Parts: sequence; C-alpha cells; structure tokens
Amino acid sequence: MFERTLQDLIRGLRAHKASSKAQEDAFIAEAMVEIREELRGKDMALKAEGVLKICYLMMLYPIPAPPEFAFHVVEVMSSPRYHLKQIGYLAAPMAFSGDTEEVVLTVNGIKKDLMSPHVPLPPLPLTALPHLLSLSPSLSTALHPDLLHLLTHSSPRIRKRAVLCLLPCWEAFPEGLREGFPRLRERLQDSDQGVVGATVGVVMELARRQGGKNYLPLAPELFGILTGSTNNWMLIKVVKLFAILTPLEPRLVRKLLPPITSLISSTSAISLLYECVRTCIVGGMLDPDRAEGEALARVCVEKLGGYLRDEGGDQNLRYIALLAMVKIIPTHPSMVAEYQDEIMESLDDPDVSIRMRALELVTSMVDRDNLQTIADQLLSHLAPPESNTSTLPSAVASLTAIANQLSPTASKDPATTSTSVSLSPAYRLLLTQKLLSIVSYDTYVNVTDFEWVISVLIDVAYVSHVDVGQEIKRLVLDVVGRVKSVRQYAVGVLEKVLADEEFRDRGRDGTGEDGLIEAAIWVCGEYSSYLSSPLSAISSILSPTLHLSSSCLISLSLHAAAKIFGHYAASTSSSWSSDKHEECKALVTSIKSGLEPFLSTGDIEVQERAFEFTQLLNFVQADLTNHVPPSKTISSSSPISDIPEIEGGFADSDLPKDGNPPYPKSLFLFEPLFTSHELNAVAYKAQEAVRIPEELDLDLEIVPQGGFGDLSDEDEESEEEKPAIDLGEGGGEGMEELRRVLREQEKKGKRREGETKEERAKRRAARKAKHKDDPYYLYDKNEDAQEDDIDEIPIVKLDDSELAPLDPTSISTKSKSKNRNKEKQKKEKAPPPEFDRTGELPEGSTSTNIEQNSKEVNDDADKAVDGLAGIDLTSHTSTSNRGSSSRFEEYKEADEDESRKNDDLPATPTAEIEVVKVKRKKKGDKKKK
Amino acid sequence: MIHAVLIFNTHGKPRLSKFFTPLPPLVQQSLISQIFSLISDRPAGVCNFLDAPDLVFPTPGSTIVEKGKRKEGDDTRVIYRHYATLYFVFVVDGAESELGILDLIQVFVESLDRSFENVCELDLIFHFDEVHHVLSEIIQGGLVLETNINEISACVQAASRNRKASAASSNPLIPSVLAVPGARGGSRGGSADGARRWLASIGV
Repeated sequence: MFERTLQDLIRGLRAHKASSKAQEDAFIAEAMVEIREELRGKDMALKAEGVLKICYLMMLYPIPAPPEFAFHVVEVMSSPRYHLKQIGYLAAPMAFSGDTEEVVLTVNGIKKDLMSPHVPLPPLPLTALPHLLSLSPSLSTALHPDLLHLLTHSSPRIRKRAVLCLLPCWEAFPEGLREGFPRLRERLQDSDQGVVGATVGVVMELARRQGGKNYLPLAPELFGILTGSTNNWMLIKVVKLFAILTPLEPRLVRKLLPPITSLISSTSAISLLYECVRTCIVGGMLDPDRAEGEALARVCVEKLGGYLRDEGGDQNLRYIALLAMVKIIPTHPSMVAEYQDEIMESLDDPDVSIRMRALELVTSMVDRDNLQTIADQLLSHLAPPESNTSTLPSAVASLTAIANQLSPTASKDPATTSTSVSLSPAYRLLLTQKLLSIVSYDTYVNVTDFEWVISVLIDVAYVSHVDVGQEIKRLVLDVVGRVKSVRQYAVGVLEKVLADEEFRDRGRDGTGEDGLIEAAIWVCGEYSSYLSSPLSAISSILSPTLHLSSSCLISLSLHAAAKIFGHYAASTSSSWSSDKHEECKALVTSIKSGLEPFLSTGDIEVQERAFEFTQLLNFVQADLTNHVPPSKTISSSSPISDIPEIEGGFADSDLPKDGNPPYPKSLFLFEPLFTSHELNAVAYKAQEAVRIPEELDLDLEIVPQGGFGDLSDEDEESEEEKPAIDLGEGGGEGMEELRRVLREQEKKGKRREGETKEERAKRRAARKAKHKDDPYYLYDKNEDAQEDDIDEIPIVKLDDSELAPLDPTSISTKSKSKNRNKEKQKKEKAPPPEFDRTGELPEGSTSTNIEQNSKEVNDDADKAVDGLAGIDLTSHTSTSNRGSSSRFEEYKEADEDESRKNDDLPATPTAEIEVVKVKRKKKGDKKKK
Repeated sequence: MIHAVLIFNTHGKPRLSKFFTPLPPLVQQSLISQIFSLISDRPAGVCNFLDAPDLVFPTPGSTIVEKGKRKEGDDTRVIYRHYATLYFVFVVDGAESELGILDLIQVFVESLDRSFENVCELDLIFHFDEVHHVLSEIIQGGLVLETNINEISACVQAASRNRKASAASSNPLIPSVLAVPGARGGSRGGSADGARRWLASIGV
C-alpha cells in the first residue's frame, strides 16, 4: 500500500479545498482511516508519520483524536530514534488530556531521556514536560528530583529548560517548592545569561501567583541583575518583578530609585523605559511623602504624556500610555488631568483598543468638575454626532437617525468602518455601562445637578440600543427616591416619556427600553402630586397598546393608574363642582374600560390587580352616580348640611357626624391605600445591621421531639388557643416601644374575652406558660380561623417619625451632610442638592457593628489561598539566607515557630492560619516600637 | 506567561496553534476564529494590541465564559503583528511586557526566516512540525526560553542535523551520531548583549 506522507496529505487537502465541502470532508475521512491503520501497524516510522498527520488535522479541523491515540504517542515517544522521539514529544501535549494511565506509562521513558548522557536528548522531554506536568501531579512528584538534578547540568541549554519546567512542576506539586527554592536561587547567579533570564521568568510567575512575600529575600540577587545586566528582556522582567516586591518592602524603594532613574534616562529601548515608568507607578515609588516621589511622578507622567501626544506616531505607545495612566490616577490625579484633552481625543480614536483604554482611563479620572463634560462626550458617542443629546425631543430625533445608520445597507460602506466599530453592540454596552457607572459612582458623589442625571438617564435609554434597562430603572428610582428636590422635574420628563408611543413600541422587542418605562410608570404613580395632568397621564399609562407589553409592566401600570386616580380624586374634592363630577365620572368609566382587557388575561398578577381595581372603581362609580353635585364650587372647609345621605357610605368615617362633605366620600377611597408610608432609600448595610435576636437559635429543633410529644393533650384543649406573640428582643429603643404597644393591645383583647370564657382562659394561661419559651410551636390552622383572633391581632400604624430622633445614624447623617454643605460653600457657590446618600438603617444599629461585620467578610475573602499560593517560604528561606538576610528580618519573625510551618502547607489552606499570622505580625511590630 | 501562540493567514486559516494553557480543542478553535474575526476587522495603522469588549480568554478553571463581562483583574492581552499574508498572534497575561512581546514576535519571525531562508506562508503550511520546533526553542511552557536569534537558530540547526542523522542512520542506537549544538560554531556567548542587538535591529 502506498503511504501518504504529511506533505502528501497537505497537498491533497489543498487540492480538495477548491472543490466542495463534501469532497473535502470525504478526503479527510479517507485520510483518517489510513492514519488509523498506520497507527495500529508495527512500523515505527509510519506510526510517527501518522501521529504527525493527526496533529496537523487536529490543528485545522475540530476532529476528535482517534481512540488510543495517546497510547500510540507513548509508543512513538519511547522510540530510540531521535527524529521519531521528537515527533512523539511534539504530539504529547495534544494527545494527553488529564491524569490518564498513558501519562503513568511515560514516566520511566521520560526519566531515561532526561538522564541521558547525550546532550541533544534531554531537551526533547523538557519541551513537552510543562504541559504534561500541569496535567499530572503524580508525574510532577516523580520527576521533581530529576528536574532538580538537571539544574546543575553542564549544558546551559538544558539548565534553562529545566528551570522553566520547575514552574508547572511546583504548581502541580507545591511541596517541591520548599526543597527546590534554594536551587532556583542559585540559578539567579548562573554563569549563563540565558539561564538567569529563564530563572527570573520563573520567579516572576511564582511571585505573581503567590504574592511576592516569599521572594523578598531574592532582592539582593535581583538587584545585582538590575545593575549589572544589559539584556533588555531580562531587565524588563526584573523591573516588572520589583513592581510586585516593592509594595511589600517599602525600604526597597530607596535602594531601587537610583538604578531605575538612571535606566529611565539612559536606555534607548522604549519597552524597558515604559516598564521602568510602570514599575515606578505600580510599585508605589511615587509616594508624595517622599521628596523625590513628586519629581519622579512628574517625569513619569511627562514621558507617558509624550507618548500620548505623539500624533501620527506609534499607536502602540499611545495604547500603553493610556494603560499606565490608569495606574497613576489614584495618587496623582491632577498630573493626569493636564492631559485631559489628549485623553478625550483618544476616545474618538478609530482604534477600538485605544478607545477602550481611554474609556477606562476617563472613567477613573471623573471628578465633580468634569463629570458633565465627560458624560456628555460619552453620550455623544452613543448618539450620532449631528444630534443634540441634551433635550428629549432631539433624542427622539436621534433615535431615528441611529435606526437608519444601523440598517444593514448603510453600514457596508467602507468609509464608515470606524463608526460601525464604535457601534458594535459589545462596545456600546461597555460604553453605556461605564457611563452609568461614572454617574452613579460612590452614590452620586460627583453629581451636582440631579436634574441633569435624570435627563442623562433618559437619553441613555433612548439612544443606547443595548439592554441596560434594568440598570436605568434602578438608577432612576434610586435618584428619585433619594433626592426630593428632583422629583418634580423627574415626573415632568417621565410623563412625556410615557406619552411616547413610539418609544414604548421599541421597548416591546426586549431591547431594554422597558426599564425606563417601568421606572417612569412607577415614578408618575408614586409622585402623582407633581403630575401636570393626571388625566392624560392615566390615559398614557393605560394606553390602548398596553396589552402588548410584558405582564410585569402591565401590573405596574395598573397600580400606578390606581395611585394617580387616588391622588386625582382626593385633590379634586377640594374644589368640587358639577363639572368635576362629570369629569370624575367620565374618568372612572374610561379607567374601567382601560382595565377591561386585563380582567381575563392569563397572568395571575395582572388579573388580580385588574379585578381589585375594578371592584373599587365600581364602588366609586356607584357613589358618584348617587351623588348630586352642588351647584357652585365650594371649598372643603365650608360646612354644608343639605347634602343627601349617601348610600353605602363609610360607617367609620372620620368626618364629623353633623354633616356630610359636599363631595362624595368615596373620592378618598384610593388615596390612603398608597400614601400611608413614604418610601426611602435603604442603607447599603441595613440588612447586616439587623441584629439577630439573642434567643433565636437556628440550630434548635423547630418542634421538640419532632412535634409528636404534645399531640395527645392538645386535642383535649380548646382550639382557640393562641400563642404568645413572639416579639423578639433587641433592635433598640424604638423596637422596645413598638413591642410594648403590641403587648398592651394583646392584653386588652384578652381581657375582653376572658370575662365570657373564664374557664378557657385559665387553661390557656396554663398552656401559654408551657409554650412561652417555644416560639416555634406550630399551631393548627383552625385556631387562626376563630373569630376572636381578629380582635387580638394588633394593628398599629408603624410611624417612624417619632422614632427618628432615637436613631443615632440618622443624626450622624444629618450632621455629616451639614459638614459637607459647609465644605462645599467654601469651595464654590452652589451647594450640592440635599440628598439621602446613606439611606435608612434599622434602629439601634451602630456604624461600628457594621464595620465589624464587613471586617469579618474581608477576613473571609482573604482565605482564598490555594495550591502554590499557600506555600510560605519565608521560614524556610530564613535558614538558607546568606549574609544579606538582615534586611528582611521582620518577615521571618512572623514565622519563627517551626511547627506552624507545617500548618501552612497547601493541603490546609485555611483562613484561620492566615488571620492568626496577621495578628502575630502586628504584635511583633508593636514590640519593636 | 504566554498563554498561546497562533499563526493564521488573512483568510483565517490557522497555520500554527500552540496553547500553553490547556484548553479543550473546541474552545481553541472558537478562540482562533474569534480572534481572527476581530483582528481582520482592524484597519491598517492601528496599534498592535487587540482589546475588544467581547473577547475573553477562557482560563482552564472557568468553563462558562460570560460574554461582554470582563473579570476584575483579568489582564490577558492579545498582541499581534501582521506580516504579508500572515498574522502572528500572542495571547499573554500581565507578567509580560506588551512592547517586549512585540519584539519577541519579531524574534520568532526572524528565526523562522533563518531556518527556512526567506520564509513564506507555504513553508509554514508544509513544515508545520518545523515551525513547532523553532517555537520550542523560543518559548517553553509559556515562558520565554531564549531571545537571542543566533542562539535560537544554532539550536534549531543542531536539532535538524540530529533529525537527519537519525533518519539516515540504519542503527537505531543513534545518540553517538547526535551533534552537540554548543560544540560547534562558537555562536555561544552572544546572549549577554544579544537582546540589545535584536532590539536595536528592529529599531526599538
């Protein structure tokens, strides 16, 4: 049979590429059959060729490896011939996918090749090893001693390959790091520069993975390389490595500053220069407390700014300049701000990579003064340039413009490639998210004008064309809830949004516009007193196309319509007249007709609301029909006695008995349903601040003995038994007050009943005593159905206005905001609008216990230490330190206890150990002081 | 470290794919096509760094890749260079210097050029194993092994001599014939100033 070589296969593939896909597939299938035969055969050369062909096909096509492929690869790997062996090792990373038995088969072969006295052989397994080691911990354990042995091989080529293999080996076998670390350290002073370079690379990766702490002792060697080497690649690596180390050892900064400054001024390689600048920034060398820090920062920013300004020059330099400036922002925002124009220009760059970096940079440089400019510019990216984004009508206009531009026919023009990139959905989404996040950053800390915020949010919803509806909804509700002064404006604009049928229509495609509509509906309902025209608002909320919307939106709409009607009805009563009467009747009829389609809708929530609302409206309608309006307009205060009695009026009306008001009382049916309690923002950590009641034991059985013990005597006892109401404890004075009221009411109810059913009351008391301490006692359903229960349910109005002064947080908030006002007034004329930044906290919670909670959370976050990262070398290296160790004493102090070392093994990556350590260190520091 | 080295032509046909981070084959294929479609969209004259909001390099641990959401601290970058009909793409993480990798791509291409003598796309197509061998002299397991072109091509030549000798010999116990690369040519020792030379040679 004629054997196809790899070249033949490739030629065949190329010949069939021109023909149909089916033919190509047929050719591949045919080739695979041949290859399988070759793999199964005895001829090692053929087998190797087959392996090579499979590798080629797997690279090009999504073909699964043939069965036993890994096994064949092992065979080829163990061939004594160099060229076949090389093919085997080349294929090994593709063939093995996990700790399979084939990997175990290879161990001895690899060991033999590694230890081969012939210099060209060991590099073959070393090339393939990193992949295999990362797959198989057992292989790593087995080969670790051999790798360490190769570190002192006579050939530098083998030494450097062995060094590089240590990284994956230690990742799979973290314990090896302890043994191997001193050997690795020796390689830093290898006579061959290539070996040193490889070692630096490995140390760099290790430091990135487990933090630099273990590698601080290497600083003297690294410093020697930094000052002595001329190899740019190695210098870059060392400089980058120091960026990890310096934050851990501030004293290194003083030592490093001279060589790094001289590198910055002398080197001709921009890559090295850039990395030096980056290390200065990331490594915390620009500390403003240090005299030279400020000057160095100036140099760095100027270098970066120079790259940025370099018009028509290297785009790569602009990219990395933006990248590095993000890092310098936190410490030196004002220096970066000098380049704001260039950065803003980069936002318009045709290159999406540069735009993304500029976007990130811009997001981090936002402050109170430039927020509006930056946000407006970002908005203008979302909308086409010709549109003016500041007002609502033009936003609508821009929407049609975008729709035209997005149509597939228009975007094919090669001249518009750059704009079509900017409009790619993923980039738009990112841009929109960034825009929303800079506006809402740190609870609107940079915002001075909340009306502007509302208008921006509406514009974003109109022009973004990405699904950020939920985020916009959240922000609109948040702003309106927190900032009282903006409500009137918000209701005004959102009312217009509701009237925009076209916008609603877009929202139905699920593209995110619904979010704004939902928010608008809710805001208009909740703050209906600001509506310019409640009647038109109701009609636009209950628009004829409402049934096409999502059920969530419909139920919101129904509810909002009810709220607006309630407000309208209540306010119209003050100027009641026959005209109003007619208007009101017409409104009720129109609302009822608007609700009608939803009475039979499939969604249970919508249907329920529609029914409730309709029933209430029926009542109002009946009342209105029976009502005879007064001939002249009256004010609610003037007493008029000749109003006829109303059928079905309220028995427990608050109004004086002597006369009825001139308006139908049912006008006040709706309003109290919605206005009893004002909605406020809830503080970020309010939930954490709620104390768990002391007696609440989550491990306790809900019903002791599984609930069977008491069943017999329960049957004899009265069914009307009531549990002692468990009111809980704690929660501060406010809660105590509330509990007292509840208990009193409960007692009252009991007293009343006790007279008639004395005997029963006695038994109940006995039973109550029995179950007093059992808040989890489960009661029969029947008990609740008893009539006397209704009297005993204490209903009180939860009014926190009288509790507010007791709330320590609210006081502190006020004083804080006062302080802020003062600061503000010093700074500029216009004080920031009052708004509730912190939100409500439960009574009795203090800021300290919140902090405690969050601290606990942080501690938990610290414990994610795993694998290689869990290895702590400091104790180990302290013993192997030579001479120069004195500088790093305090790092060893924490780990002098040898027994502790064993606890730190990766097998037990627990948080407790980490936490304990931190504490011990602190103690050590104190002692020093 | 370097996560992946890819070569594909301007039509998106892969010529070399080497993943140093183990990934399932299907993910590899989709990643290649994703990177290709993003790179081929980029006009000439833009920077060599590919940043796209919807490009996420999957790490072995995370199987579900959320599109459009970058993880915090994800510093993976795609750095590429365009030579004639080929794109050379390196996917690296934050341990690598962006500009340094650009130079490394140049070193890789020059090494290929030396071993193939005026390398063109056809060479890479028909000698994909040779490309792998060259790459293995520069990068091993995602870490840079050597940056000196002279040293790299010396190793590549030595390996190919060994292959030829081994294939030609009838005696399977070949090692005695194997050439020791360091022993001849005396090209060794250039690595101290080598990197500076290669940096200078490409005008950095």
